[in-house]
Amino acid sequence: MATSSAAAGRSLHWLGVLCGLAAGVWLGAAEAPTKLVNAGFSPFAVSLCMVAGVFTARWTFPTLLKGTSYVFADLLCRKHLIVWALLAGALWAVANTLTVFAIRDVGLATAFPLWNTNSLIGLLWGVLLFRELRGASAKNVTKVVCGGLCIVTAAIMLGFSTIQGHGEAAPHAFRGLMAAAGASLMWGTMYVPYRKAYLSGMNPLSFVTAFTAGELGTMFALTWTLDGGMNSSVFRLAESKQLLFWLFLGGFVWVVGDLFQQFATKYLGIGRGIPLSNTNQFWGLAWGALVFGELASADRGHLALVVGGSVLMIVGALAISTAVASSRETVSRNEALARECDRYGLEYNEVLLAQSGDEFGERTQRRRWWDVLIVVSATGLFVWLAVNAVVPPLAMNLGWVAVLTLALLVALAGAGWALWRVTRFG
Amino acid sequence: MTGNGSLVDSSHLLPITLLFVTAYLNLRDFMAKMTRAILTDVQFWIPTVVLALGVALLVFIHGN
Repeated sequence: MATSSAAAGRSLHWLGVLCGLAAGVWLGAAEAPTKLVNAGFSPFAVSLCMVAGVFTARWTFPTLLKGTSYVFADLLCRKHLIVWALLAGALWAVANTLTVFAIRDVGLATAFPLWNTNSLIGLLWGVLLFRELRGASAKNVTKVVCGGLCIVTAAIMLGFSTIQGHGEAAPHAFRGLMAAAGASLMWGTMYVPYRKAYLSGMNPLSFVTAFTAGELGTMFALTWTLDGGMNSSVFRLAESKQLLFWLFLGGFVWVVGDLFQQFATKYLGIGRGIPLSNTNQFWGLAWGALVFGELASADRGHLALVVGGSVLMIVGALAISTAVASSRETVSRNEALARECDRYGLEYNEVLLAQSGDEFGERTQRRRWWDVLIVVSATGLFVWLAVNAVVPPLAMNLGWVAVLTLALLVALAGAGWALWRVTRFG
Repeated sequence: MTGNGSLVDSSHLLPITLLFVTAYLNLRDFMAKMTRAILTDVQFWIPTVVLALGVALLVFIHGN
C-alpha cells in the first residue's frame, strides 16, 4: 500500500515536472507579440488586447477538455475560490502591463529574466503560508536555498547587463528595472491564490475560467482610467485587425502555458512548480535573440552577462525543482489542506483525493451542445482575425520561428498526452 | 392556468413564498459566513495589499 502510494506520488511529481517545462516553452513564446508596443500603441492598449485574446482563447480547445457543466459545478462547489481567482487575474493584469513598460525601457532579453525572480517570492509565500518544505530533508532544503541564491545572482547580472549594453545607462533603465521588479513581486504573490485553489481541490480549468474574467475586468479598468478612456489607443488598435491577431495569438499561447503552469503548481506546489515554469526565461531569450535579433549589436561583455545570468538562473530553478517532496513534506501539505477545509467547510477526504486529479469522483463530464457552440465561436474569432492579419513590420528570422514553433508543438503533445494518461486533465 | 383564471393557485403562494424566503436566508447565511472567512484570512490580504502596491507603481511609472 505504502509502495503504491509512493509510486503514485512519484508519477504525479514527474507529471508536474513535465507540465512545468511545457509551461516554460509556451509562456516564453507568449511575450514575443508584445514587441508590437514599438508600433506606437500604449502598453495598456497592448496588454488589454492580449488579455482579450487570453479570455477568448480560454473558450477554445480548453472547453473541450472539460465542458462548461463540469467547470461551473466545480466553481460552485468552492464558491469562495472565485474571489481568489479574480484577485489572481487582477494581479496578473497589472504585472503584465508593468512588463510591457519594462520591455519598452530595457528590452525583452533583460526584462524577462529579471521578472522571473518571482519564483523566489512564490517560494517565500509557499513556505510561510502553505507549509511547503516543512519536514524536508537537509539535501532538499540546500537545493532550494542554493537554487534561490543562483536566481538572485542571475537577476543582478542581468540587471547590470542593461547598463553595460548601452555603454551608459539606458534613458529609462531605472524605470524599466523597477517595472520588471514590480511585476516579479506581483506574479510571485499571484501564486498564493493558485496554491490555495489547488489545496482546496479545484481543477485548473475551473480556476482559469474565473481568473481570465478577473484579468479582463482589471485590464479594462486600467486602460479606461490611466490610458485616456475613450481616447485610448486601444480603440485604434482594435480597428487594426492586421495587428490584433498577433496580440490575440500571444494571449492564446499564454493560456496554454498558464494551464500547464497551473497543473505544475497543483502537482508540485509553488516552490517547485514555479521555478520550473520560469524556464520560460530561456525560451523568451531565445525568441528575443534568435527571432528578433535583440542581441545583434551587443558586445562580448554584455553577451557574457546575459548568457551567464540566464544559465545560472536555469541551474537555480532546476536545483529547486529536483528537490522531490518526501512523505514528511506530504504530511505537512495535508496540514495546510486541513486548514482550508476547517476555514471554508470543505470535505477533507474529497479534497485529499482531488490532489491526485480526482475532483468529483463519478460526477458527469459530458460535453453539451453549447460547449461546441462556444468553441466554434471563439475559434471563429481567431480565424477571422488570422484572415485579416499582416506580418508586423519587424525584422524576424523565420527559420528560427519555425524551429521554436516546433518546440511548442512537441511540448504541447508531450505534456498534454501525459496529463490525459495520468489524470484525464484532473 | 387555474379555474379562476389566475396563473398560480392561491394555495400554492404560501409554500412558494416560504421556499424563496428559505433560499434567500440560506444564501445570506452562506454569504455572511464566507465573507467572514475570507476577510479574516491573512492569505486574502497579502495578495490584496500587493495588488494595491502594484497599481500604485503602475500609476507612478505611467506618470513619469
